[in-house]
Amino acid sequence: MNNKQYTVLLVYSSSYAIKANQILSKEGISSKMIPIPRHISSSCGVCLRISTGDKSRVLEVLKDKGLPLDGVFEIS
Amino acid sequence: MIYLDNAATSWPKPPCVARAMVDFLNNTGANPGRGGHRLAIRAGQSVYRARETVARMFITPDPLRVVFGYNITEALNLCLQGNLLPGDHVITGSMEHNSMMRPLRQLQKEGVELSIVSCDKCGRLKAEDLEAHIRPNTKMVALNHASNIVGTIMPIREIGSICRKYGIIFLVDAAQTAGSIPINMERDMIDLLAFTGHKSLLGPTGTGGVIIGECVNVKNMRPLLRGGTGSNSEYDEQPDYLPDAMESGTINGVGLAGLTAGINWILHEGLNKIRNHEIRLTQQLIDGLLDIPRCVVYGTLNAREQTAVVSFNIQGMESSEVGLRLDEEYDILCRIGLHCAPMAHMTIGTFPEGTVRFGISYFNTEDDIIRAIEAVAGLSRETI
Repeated sequence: MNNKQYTVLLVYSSSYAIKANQILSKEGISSKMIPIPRHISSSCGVCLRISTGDKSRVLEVLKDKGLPLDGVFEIS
Repeated sequence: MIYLDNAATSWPKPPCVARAMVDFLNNTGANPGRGGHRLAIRAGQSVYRARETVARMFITPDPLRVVFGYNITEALNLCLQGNLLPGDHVITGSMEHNSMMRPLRQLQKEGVELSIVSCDKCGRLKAEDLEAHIRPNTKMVALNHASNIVGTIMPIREIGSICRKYGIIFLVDAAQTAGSIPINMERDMIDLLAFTGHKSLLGPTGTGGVIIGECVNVKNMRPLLRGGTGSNSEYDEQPDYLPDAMESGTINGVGLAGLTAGINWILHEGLNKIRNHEIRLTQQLIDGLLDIPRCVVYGTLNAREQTAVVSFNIQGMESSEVGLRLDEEYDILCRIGLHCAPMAHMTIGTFPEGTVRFGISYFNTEDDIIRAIEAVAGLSRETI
């Protein structure tokens, strides 16, 4: 995963991040839990970092599994 | 030493429980759900595994609806105080523990209407008796799954079905059954399943909680505590999604690691195997005690109708003396008295003197039961 260009998924809480991480892992999609970048949100929680190339598939999978997202941000 | 106080707290635990807790303390350690460094994430994952394991145990689909707390007393208080308002009606039974009755009595003082369904002298409750108490404003049926004194099992699936029919929230107190009797939250139609970790689930003290079913609207449920959740930190209002809505403050990560190990041990061993062993020992104990002169045994006397607890008295000897002498002279540990359930003792006719209670676990043996029966027979001979 290119660390300079990635997409960040905001979820409600770390429990949701873990759940999303598991769902994606089962689908063979790589994701990593990272602290939420401060310029996106001042929440002290974690979010999910994915490769921007996986974005559309990730959004589809998570929607399909009923996991709500709080925001999607492309970081470059 | 023979430990027969498992209905209070199970002991011993499978060795994997302590191992998991030591591993968490030594290698994971950090604050679950707070911060984003790797140890915090590992701790969060460990707690999430506990949610998944509890959800698997009670056959419910969403681990995020598993809310953890300190014990089942906290969980029952959350369910009762969080859902019932003045003018609401709640139905319970006459075999309840004080963890249910005391919050209910307080709510009654505050304007909640309370009906108590009478159980028979063996602790049995009839679903149709309960249905007869339903009113237009009945919001909840709150019931233990099995009595902590005589172990009598309540017909929860039948009652769950009645509650669904009327759109009433069904709260089940599984303190005495979680981990020893199969519970299927969906099939039993339970909306709020309260559990404790330190009894038959074989975890440590300081673990427990409630699974909040899909039928309960979390936005209408008030938490017992509000505070830091590691989420929505930019807002000073409590989040309204689970589990954060009901779980404030740092969670017992060490304890939950132990609880996960305990439940996984049960799932691996097989709940039916555990239940069958406990039924065998319970019936052996009941039959043995019934053969002793001046020994009165309470409950259904049928191990299949109850959990692995047996209450009895020796006529002419106070339960406190029986308990002390079993401990000091026979090396047998049990519980005596009212077991925090005065109304249940009134129901079975043993208030205020109480009973002696043996609580069996999967780790007890036939030999333990033989020795316990011999000890009670020995004490009984002294009362001639």
